[in-house]
Amino acid sequence: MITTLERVRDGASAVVRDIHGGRMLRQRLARLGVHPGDTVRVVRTGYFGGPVLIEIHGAEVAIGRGMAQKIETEVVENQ
Amino acid sequence: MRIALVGQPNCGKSTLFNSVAGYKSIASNFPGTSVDYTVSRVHMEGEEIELVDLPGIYSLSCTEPDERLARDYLIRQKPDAVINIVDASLLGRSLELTLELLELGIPLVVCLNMMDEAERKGIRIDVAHLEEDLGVPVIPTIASRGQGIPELFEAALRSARDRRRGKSFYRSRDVESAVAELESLLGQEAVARIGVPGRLLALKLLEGDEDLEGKTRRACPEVVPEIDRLRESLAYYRGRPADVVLSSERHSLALNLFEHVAQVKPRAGPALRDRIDRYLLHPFWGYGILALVLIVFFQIVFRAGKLVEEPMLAWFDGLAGMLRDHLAPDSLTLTVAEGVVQGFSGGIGIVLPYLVPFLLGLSLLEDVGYLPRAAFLMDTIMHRIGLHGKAVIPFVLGYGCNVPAVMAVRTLASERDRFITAVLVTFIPCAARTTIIFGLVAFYVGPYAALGLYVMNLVVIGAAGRLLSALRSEASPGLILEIPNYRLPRPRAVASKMWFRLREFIVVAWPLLIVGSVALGLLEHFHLFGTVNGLLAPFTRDLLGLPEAAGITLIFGILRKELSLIMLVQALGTSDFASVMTQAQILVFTVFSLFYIPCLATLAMLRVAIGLRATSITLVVTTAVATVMALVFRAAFALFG
Repeated sequence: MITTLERVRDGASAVVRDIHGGRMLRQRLARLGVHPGDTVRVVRTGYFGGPVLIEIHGAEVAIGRGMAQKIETEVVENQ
Repeated sequence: MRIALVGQPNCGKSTLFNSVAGYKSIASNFPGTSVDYTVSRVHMEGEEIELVDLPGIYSLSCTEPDERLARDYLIRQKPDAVINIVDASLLGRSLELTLELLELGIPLVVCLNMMDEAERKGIRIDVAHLEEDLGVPVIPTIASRGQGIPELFEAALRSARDRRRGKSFYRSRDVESAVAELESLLGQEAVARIGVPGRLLALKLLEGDEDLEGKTRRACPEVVPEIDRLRESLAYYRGRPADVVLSSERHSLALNLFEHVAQVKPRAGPALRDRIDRYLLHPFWGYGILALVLIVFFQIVFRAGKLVEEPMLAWFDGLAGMLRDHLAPDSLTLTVAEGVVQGFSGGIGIVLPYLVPFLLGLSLLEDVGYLPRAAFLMDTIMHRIGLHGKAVIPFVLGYGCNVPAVMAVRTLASERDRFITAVLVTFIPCAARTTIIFGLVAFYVGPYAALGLYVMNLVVIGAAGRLLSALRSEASPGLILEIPNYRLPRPRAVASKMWFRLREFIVVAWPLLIVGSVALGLLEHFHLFGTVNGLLAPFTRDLLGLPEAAGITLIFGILRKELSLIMLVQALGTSDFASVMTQAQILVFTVFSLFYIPCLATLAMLRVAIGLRATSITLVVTTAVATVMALVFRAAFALFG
């Protein structure tokens, strides 16, 4: 299933397919190790439009909702 | 011999620095707290080392102010060696920075820190293998316990003496040929003028580094179109923008290295942090706990503060009395001496009782790792006023004292966010303004009116936030924040951080307080209070409808907010305000005090944090908001009161 990051259910893993944003956004995400092709695990999604907490390469990173909406992911099925 | 410490935020860099250098640098568990770098002189193996603690950076790109500072330092100052501190439990990601540092051509030693945490996470690293792959010494350490540090510095000194450099890592063939072409186009002379090693320069230019592109444009403008051409051709053949190609190459190099040298055993059951986070980040309990933490925090600070402040000020009153006994009455010497004593007592009255417990508590919350979690919870609320989660920390601090709040503004990434947050923070009723609200409104008008003022204050902050965001319409970059592991705070790190921040207040703000006190003393000495009141009368008396004598108290309030209340007693000649002021006047006075010009100490910190121009804008905005709100209250009373 292909969807944006903020819609991935808590606990599920997803592969980043594309980042729909400018170079600034791509670089800010890349600094923390988020690149197309990486697998991330959604730890929890904040309520009331809060940020998405993901685990990536062993670190946990909070990503604001607006940015999460620009990250296209493919959910890894049957785990 | 100069050695620089470079590493990603939270890798234990400042802990390592502190363990060799002493109480001089900030070590924290909130990503991006040290925006300046700290230098310390250490003696090791008969050599004097200048040890430089650079701010934590994720890469050598220049997207954030601290990254620019660190990169500029490495390029311009060319230290004799760089110690790259790596959080071993995050090795895969951290190696990206290591790969970039290798391109700098400065002797490098990799410090594999937090080996204990990596082990807990089930990560086993083959150190010898990594050393061989990178071509530089790799020293495993546990900085918090001092393990491996002598070996680390030995290795760094040896590498610096031998000028030992690591390997360069080869990218894919198309990238390599673009790098080679760009390097030859730039030519050695231009590369030397720009001051960045040619290969690194070419890699960064292809990645779209604006800072280096600007430098290249100045050094050899004819190459700039060539950079664009190479980028476009990379993007054309790869089907992705050139910056993605370059950063993905580095990323996969780092991950391959990681897989080559490390074994990861999946852990059984959830980690401790997940079990704690389940409550602390819970949509209901999380906010409840946040509220509880803040309430307990402030209760402790206020109570501890009160306990110390009263005897402290009594002692200073005694000192002032002694001065009056020994110096000629009405003499200029007495006035100046009294001003100095008042400035000192003002500083001590703020610093010791409130700032010390406050900064101590803050450092604790920070080092435990709670502050990033508060930012996570508050992100959605801060979004409504055009900011994001990280800005919540200055806001919370503001209720204690605006000074540390303004200091904390510097941790925000964008200039826009720093500016908006700094302006809004100065509206937050600090402890001193709280005493005015309680002393005047709660006492003479009623506790609900006081509560109403707090609510009104929040509404105004929200509205001002939306307005400022609309004026500075460039989008807030939004929240990207690493949520670190919980850690036991180390007393040394907490103490050193508190001292670092305290020193900033003492150096920047305190002298101003003393000068200001002397200036006001001189005004009194030359009987100029009446003149000042007269000058202010069109504003205070006619516009706001306050007693004319209140004018000078507002001037005192700029020195220290609670002085407005204390001086009001003197100015009106009574402490029973109800006998000389109407309820409307009391409310208007309090509302104006709540919002107008921040105190001198805050202004001094503002200047450091957001610059002179933005500070002047803050002055105008705060005065305007204070006047408007005071008028609203006056009009409301005239209509409905």
